[in-house]
Amino acid sequence: MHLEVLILLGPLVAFLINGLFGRLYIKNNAHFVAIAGVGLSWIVSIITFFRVMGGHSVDATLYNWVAAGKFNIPFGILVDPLTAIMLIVVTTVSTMVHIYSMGYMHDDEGYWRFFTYLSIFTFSMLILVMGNNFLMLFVGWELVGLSSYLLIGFWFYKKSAADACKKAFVMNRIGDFGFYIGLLLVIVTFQGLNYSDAFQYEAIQAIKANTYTVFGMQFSLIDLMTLGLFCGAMGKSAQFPLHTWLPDAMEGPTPVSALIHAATMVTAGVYMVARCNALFSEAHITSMVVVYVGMFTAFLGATIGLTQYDLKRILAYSTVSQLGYMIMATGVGAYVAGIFHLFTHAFFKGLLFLCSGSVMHAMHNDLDVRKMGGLKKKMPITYWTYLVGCIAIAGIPPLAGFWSKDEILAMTFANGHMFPWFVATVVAGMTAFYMFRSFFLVFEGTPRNQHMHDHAHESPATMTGPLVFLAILSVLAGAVFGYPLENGFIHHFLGPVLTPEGAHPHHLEHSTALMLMILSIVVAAAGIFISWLYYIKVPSLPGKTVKAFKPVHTFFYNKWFFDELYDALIVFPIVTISRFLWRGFDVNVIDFTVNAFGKVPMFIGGVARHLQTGRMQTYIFTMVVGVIVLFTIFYTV
Amino acid sequence: MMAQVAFYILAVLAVVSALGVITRENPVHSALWMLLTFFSVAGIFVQLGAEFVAAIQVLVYAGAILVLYLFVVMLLNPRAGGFIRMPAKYIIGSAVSIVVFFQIAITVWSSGIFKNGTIGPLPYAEGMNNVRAYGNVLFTKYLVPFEIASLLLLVAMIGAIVIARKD
Amino acid sequence: MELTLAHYLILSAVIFALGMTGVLIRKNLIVMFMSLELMLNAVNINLAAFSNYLQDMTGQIFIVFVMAVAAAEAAVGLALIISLFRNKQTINAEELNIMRG
Repeated sequence: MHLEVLILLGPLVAFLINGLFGRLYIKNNAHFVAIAGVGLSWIVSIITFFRVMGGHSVDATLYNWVAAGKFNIPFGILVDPLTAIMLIVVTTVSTMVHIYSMGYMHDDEGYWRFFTYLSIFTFSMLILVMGNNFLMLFVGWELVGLSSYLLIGFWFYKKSAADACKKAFVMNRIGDFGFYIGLLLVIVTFQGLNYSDAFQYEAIQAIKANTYTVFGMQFSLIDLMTLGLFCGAMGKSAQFPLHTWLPDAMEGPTPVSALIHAATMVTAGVYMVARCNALFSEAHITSMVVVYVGMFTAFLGATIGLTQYDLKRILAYSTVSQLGYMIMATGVGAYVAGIFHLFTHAFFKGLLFLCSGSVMHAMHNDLDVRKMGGLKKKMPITYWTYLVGCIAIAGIPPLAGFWSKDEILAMTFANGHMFPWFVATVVAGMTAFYMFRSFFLVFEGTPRNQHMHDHAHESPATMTGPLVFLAILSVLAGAVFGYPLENGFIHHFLGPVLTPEGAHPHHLEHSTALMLMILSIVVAAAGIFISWLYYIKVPSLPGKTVKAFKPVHTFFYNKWFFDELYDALIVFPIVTISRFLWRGFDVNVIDFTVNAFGKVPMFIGGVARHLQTGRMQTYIFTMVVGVIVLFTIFYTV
Repeated sequence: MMAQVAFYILAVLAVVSALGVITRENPVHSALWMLLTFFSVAGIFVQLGAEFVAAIQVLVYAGAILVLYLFVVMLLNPRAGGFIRMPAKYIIGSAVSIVVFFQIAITVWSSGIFKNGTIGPLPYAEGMNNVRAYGNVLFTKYLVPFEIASLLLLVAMIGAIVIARKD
Repeated sequence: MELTLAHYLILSAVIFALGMTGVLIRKNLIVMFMSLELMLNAVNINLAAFSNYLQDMTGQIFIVFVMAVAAAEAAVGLALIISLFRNKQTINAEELNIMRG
């Protein structure tokens, strides 16, 4: 038995206990069970992390799930440095969110249900990162999708929440369709599902020359495979064009947004691409697609984030944008940088979301930043932790975001992707701008709504505790893991698993690296400065700017009209055709035919029923006549 | 000569009494006519050398089953014992029966046994009579069916009790 | 005229036909049952006659089996009639027509 199994069992057992007994017996004590479960996972994860640092690794089959001839699907776990990092991210944020939820969900009637869902989510995410084959990955992938659905729709009696969870599910399904195709291609090509089967350098080289013709174009097998897998990543990690579900997912409770839609689940796509680096690094077309999808998503998220007024939406678009960064990093081959950004982002974005939850708590569930302001005095802890989060995401050294983001920029530059590098740098400035915009609007200046301001108060210790803890991580995680740049702990740790065989990583000259670093700091500082200028120094500037760039602002404010575009292009035609099929075809043709099959026997029966007189003598008479007829036939013939 | 006379007397009695059964309006009368039929048929059995069966006929049929019928008739005392209402059906029912009779009669006639089918006393071995011979066959060759018949009667008895019980 | 098998067969046919007539035209369930007994008796005559003609005891054995069946049938049938009468207050075959289509 491996110690790591305990990581899985903790949340699973908590889920079963809360799920089975929560409603009737445990009720408002559900957090004890859930926190015990996830806490166990956390502790074991930390132990595992240190063991992996010491060279420990596990690739074991726990039991054979499906065995059909030569085809096997084992239920196995894999613990290597990548898994260890993911375990730390998932269990740390999950534990913090569990503790935070005790305060945040305090009076909710679905208290026990909430913790049950959190447990199943944590379990699913752990399955996803700990599986040693593609099917386990897929199972975890779908399970997190399910728990995300349940948690977004946690307040299912709100129509917006119910719609949002359906949207998230459907969008993910589109991505998963591609994922499934990729998965089948992997099975067919490598005759097995285990990572160790698929990631053999020789096996990949052997199939490199295989090509398929799709839509009249020649694709290499490996490109198709990875494109399919990347489709799944696009859905799960909210990449363009499947990004629209993530902002809507903010309808769920804020701890859920922090855990699932910022820190863990949405990074599953990045994890998957990094895990499959052996495949992706050989797929050149896919790599280009990944780079440009990531870049465009980063830009898209940032531009929309500039204009939003809903605090959680700002954070959501910022998440979309940051996920774009990570995906871009994996596209250029900088898998370590991508995972590193995932790691730091989990802490500071989780922190920012939890802060927004704290603000929401104080402002009676109103999230419009235009009504806030001057909360600095009322909520000192939230103020300082939010500030830490903002500096971290903006990329000011020595906080966490700087190290990972700068590395992505540097690696993009080093690998010769000049245009993506340029866009990403601009986006970094925009990120700094809009994050500090939200910060200034919420905490600085004077209150814009005195009534709400008067009622504001700092959140309880169960909520501020996790804030402080995550803030400390946001300060330290980058420097501790990432210093010195490109040669830090995380590079030595993850390098062996995330450097594909046969890859030739580019390295920058020392002076160039330094230049880029200074440039990115300057851009971030400029963003913060403009933000300060706009929202503190000259508050009339935003209005003027909006007026000057009216069409652009409208375009960004309405999220590039993606929802409307999808409605017009996909939803409307499908609804129209379906309505025609329902009213025209189904009712008139199919129902008519089916009803006819029912009506003909009814008519015949209506005629024939008169034969059944119910009188015994008639029956006997008929029988005797029958006997006579038979007798006559057999006797005379 | 005696045999012919006896046969015709018994045959006429049987037919007449059978007619009585189906034409009497009162079920009690029908039952009493049926008693006569059973006795006549018992006589026919004696004539055919089946003395044991004749005895059974009198004991079981006339003695037990008929009494059961009488019991039920007396118990229920149904008002309507008459015939079905429509005379047309009365005639059609009789006609069908006559057709059946003629079919059987023609079959018998054309089979040739009218002239050659000899009837007489059965030849028994030394020291045997009808009852002994009967017992020999019944308890050897037909032992299993005999036991099954007893089972059938048991089932019928339990069934009758269950069905007729007041609940 | 010498007695032959055919005499007995014709007698049995007559009684059988009479019994059938009774089943067909009577509306009292008990009398219908009695007519059924007549038909069974006709069959018994047939069996006895063939037993004699074929010099074989089997025919007579079967008469006893027929009697056993008749007794069983009478017991169950009459029980049914009693139960029916208790529920419907009638044993008129024409009124018992809830199975009408």
